[in-house]
Amino acid sequence: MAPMKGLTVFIADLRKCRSHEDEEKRVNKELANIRTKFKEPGLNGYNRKKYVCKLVYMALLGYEVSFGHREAVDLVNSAKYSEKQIGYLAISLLMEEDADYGRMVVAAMSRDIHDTNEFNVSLALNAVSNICTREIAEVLTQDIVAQLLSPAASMFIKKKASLCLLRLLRRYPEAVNAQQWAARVIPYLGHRDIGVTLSVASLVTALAQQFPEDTRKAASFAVRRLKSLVIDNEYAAEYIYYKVPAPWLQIKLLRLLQYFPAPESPELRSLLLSILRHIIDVSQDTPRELQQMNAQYSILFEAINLGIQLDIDQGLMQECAVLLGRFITSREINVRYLGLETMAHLAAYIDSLDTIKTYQGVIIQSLRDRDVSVRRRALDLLYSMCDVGSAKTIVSELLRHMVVADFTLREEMALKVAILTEKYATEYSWYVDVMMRLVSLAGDHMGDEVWHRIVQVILGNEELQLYACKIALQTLKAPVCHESALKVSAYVLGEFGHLIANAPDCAPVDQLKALQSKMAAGSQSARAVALTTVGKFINLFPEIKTLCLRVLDRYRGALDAELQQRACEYYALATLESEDLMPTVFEEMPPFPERRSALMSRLLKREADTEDQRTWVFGGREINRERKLQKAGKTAEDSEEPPSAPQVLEALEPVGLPVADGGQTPEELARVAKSKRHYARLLWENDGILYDGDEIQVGLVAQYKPPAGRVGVFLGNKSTAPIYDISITVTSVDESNETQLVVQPAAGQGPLPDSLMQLGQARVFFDVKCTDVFATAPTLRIAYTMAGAPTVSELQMPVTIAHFIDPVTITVADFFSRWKQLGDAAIGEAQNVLKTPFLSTDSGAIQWLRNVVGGAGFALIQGADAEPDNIVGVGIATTENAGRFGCLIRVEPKPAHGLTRVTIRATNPTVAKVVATNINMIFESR
Amino acid sequence: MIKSVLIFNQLGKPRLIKFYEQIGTTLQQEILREIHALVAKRPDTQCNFLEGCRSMGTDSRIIYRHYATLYFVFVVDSSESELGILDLIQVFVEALDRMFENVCELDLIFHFDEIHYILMEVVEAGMVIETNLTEISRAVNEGKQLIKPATDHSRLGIGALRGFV
Repeated sequence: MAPMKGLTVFIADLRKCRSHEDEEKRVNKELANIRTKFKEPGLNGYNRKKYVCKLVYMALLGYEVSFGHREAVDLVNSAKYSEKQIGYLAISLLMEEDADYGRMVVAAMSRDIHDTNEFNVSLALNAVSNICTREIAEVLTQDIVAQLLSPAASMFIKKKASLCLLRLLRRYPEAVNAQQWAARVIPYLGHRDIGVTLSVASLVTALAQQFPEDTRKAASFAVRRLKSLVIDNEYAAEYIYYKVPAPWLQIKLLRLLQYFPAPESPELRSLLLSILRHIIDVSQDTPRELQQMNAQYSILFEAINLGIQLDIDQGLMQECAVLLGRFITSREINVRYLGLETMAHLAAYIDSLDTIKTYQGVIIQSLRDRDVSVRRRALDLLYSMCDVGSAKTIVSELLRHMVVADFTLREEMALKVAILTEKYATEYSWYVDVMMRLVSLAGDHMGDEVWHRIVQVILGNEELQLYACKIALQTLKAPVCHESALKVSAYVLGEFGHLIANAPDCAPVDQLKALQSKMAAGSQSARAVALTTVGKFINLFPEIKTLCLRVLDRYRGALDAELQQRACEYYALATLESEDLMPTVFEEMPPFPERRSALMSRLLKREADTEDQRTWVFGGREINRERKLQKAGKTAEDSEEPPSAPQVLEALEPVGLPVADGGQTPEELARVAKSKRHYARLLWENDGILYDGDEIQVGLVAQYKPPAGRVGVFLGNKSTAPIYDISITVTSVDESNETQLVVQPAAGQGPLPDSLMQLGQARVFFDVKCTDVFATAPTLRIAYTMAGAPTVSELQMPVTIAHFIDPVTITVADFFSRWKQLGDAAIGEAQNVLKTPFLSTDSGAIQWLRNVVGGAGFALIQGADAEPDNIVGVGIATTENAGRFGCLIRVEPKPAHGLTRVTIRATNPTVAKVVATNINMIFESR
Repeated sequence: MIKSVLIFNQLGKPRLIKFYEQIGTTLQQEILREIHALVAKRPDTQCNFLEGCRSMGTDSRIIYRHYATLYFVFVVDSSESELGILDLIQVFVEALDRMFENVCELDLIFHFDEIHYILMEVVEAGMVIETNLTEISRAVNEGKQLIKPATDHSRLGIGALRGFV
């Protein structure tokens, strides 16, 4: 590009600035200058280019540039290549995807994609892969596919088109219709041009994860292509990189093959095996030159990864283990690093860990390497290779190292130690000792999950409890006691303190004293747990009740609201005349239900943030086998038991550890209350959110034309990781419902996407038909896999008989005669007096009540009731086969008492009952 | 996938910032500072791989090379081969070297746009697109040919500037 004088001078000016302030001043001056120039009419192309270029440079230095986009678009539309080039560059670097001039850019792109000059096409393709909006995906995908598949397009364009498609596919999988063209892309893997093959291999890798069926052929193409490179030496000389032929293509293909199962045909299998063998043999001698060694080893590591993944030859794997053993002692630090990483992969699959174990000493040594990256890999490897035999050594080494480890590494170490200890503990005392040590050493560096989990495990294993109590008391008596250790100890003693009460120095008084001594210095949350323990002590040890009351009494005046409330409530409970309540409230906690450890979820979450799916995760063989099974079983619905029990979201997070005595944390209670509120809202409104969790959000849109209706379910991914294997189904809880309420997916809608990216949304419409009166709402079942963990949430779906009620307007006189008739006949009446405290505080409350009754499907009859605030309404429920049922409602609010009486009379008892329950729920959740 | 390509000098002054995901300028600069802080304290005897850039996601790795005054950094996710990326940095630098004949920091400063054009021929959409140096320089040079030299303005080359900067 011909240099622009103004630009060069500007850059030189900035370089001369001595201080940041000077630089800022110069930039602001220039920004003002450019603003005026842009406003002047008749700015020529050269100047426009120059100023936009300056803006790009300022953005590079970190200055916020909020204008100039329009000028950049003008440049894109210029006929001069130099202006177009800068225009596209500026757009790629400065533009945000939701910009309002996006449409103009799309127009320019679609024009340039069809240009005869391939450099213009290349610029446009490049821009698409930088700013791909949904609109671009929808408008341009077909053209880009055509460029890739057209025999007329040059290699240069094909390369760009295939990566452009990859970007679109990842961003908007549902907009690009990949299944239509996926199969036609695959033969390009055999293309003689290495650049094209390389780009297409990236695209096919992404396709293979989404459409394993349609891309099955890719495996054989990839194997044959590898053979031509590795064994037959067929490649253009320019692709030799430091004596190694096309290392990137080799790596790409070896990686692509990891997404397929091992080839079934014996010919292909032996071919692949001989390729791997060839790669390993070549690497037996260490190349002298650094670049060559890099290239050669990069292929080797990928080949080993593939071998491990396909699990085709255990002999070969043992050989790899030996080779890797050599690498982890290499003097070349990069090789050491990768050796450790690959060995962790190997440890995750290999049948016998014996070979790897011979290097245990070296690996532990690597925990002390000078380079933190190497230390991290050593930690991962130790975690992966741990088994019952080596657990004690490895855990104690990790604990020893914990004290000196980097802060950034400690949390992960703590998690890993906790998981390993739980998994491989053979003696209870060992588990308790290690965990108490762990919380004392690393308490500051780990989340609450760890101590929650310890309590869960102790609660679930009776044999542990006595020993745990002894250690807990010991911990409290020690001179220093970490916060988390205090929580665990307090909790354990509160539950099982009586088990050791007869031992010397362990009397209830001693326990209380020990607790008190540490409580004073604890944080608010630790003191809260301790207070609950004091409450439990009153129940466990009546003999020290007075002492305990004294402690509680002191906290009744605590400044902290939570502490004060606990103290007051426990104090009041304990001083009640009746003594029945105390034992009930402080009854021993039941063992926690078995579920996936939150520690594991946390660890896996760390590894979920990647564009291509991981083919393996750190951690022993079980977890990787489990992942494999899940992948294999995802299409076969009838596969045996799912590898890990699906969890019902409502009960899932966070690991519920009772902070108070009720068994549910405040967050859990809040969560349940929130989802109840969502449900209640959908009882009188047609669309809204049904579930709002950490990972997903579910919305509902409904339309009723009794006796039929249509309900749309929207599933959004709120997390940063993609979710897979989505299914959305509706089942009736009550078997007998099936004929009364028919729910079917609406005809003519496409299948659900295979995956949902961050912020992606999927939807399904269901046709519902009410054939007869039904009592129970159906269940909406949403299943998906995130980070390898299958999750199922079952939500009550707000579709009740009351939804099939239409408003009917009748006269006041008619209303009263029917009201009386129905009352006399006593077919179906439901009456509730509901607490509605909001009546007195909120002036709009009466209007709200009216909206609710109207929203629930009733026509309001004005002036029917002598009391103006009372609301009466009439509706009629329609079923297909059982006829229609009239339903009358009367709502009598009493603001003075904060109460409201709701009476429903219907020609069917179930209708009355369901309407009453719904209204009840709506009022409650206001 | 390659999430980002960064070039900065020892003081952390940016020379090239390229993200393959939409990220705001402020966050980009923050990431640059964070990575500079992580990388600059590592002696050359340590390995070229690093984790722990919090702003780029937990599964991202930093792969870098240190040439004279400059750091070339690729931030990638776990689906890339570390050594492969290390080689790719080498290819990118060799391509720059071909374009500028003994590339130095000044070339990158005054031709910041051209660096982007060269990178475009090596990486697109976060994926490696070409590794053959001949092909890379052909694409860049032929693009350059399309630009007719400006006739109405006096041209001030880099050589002239080197004197007074």
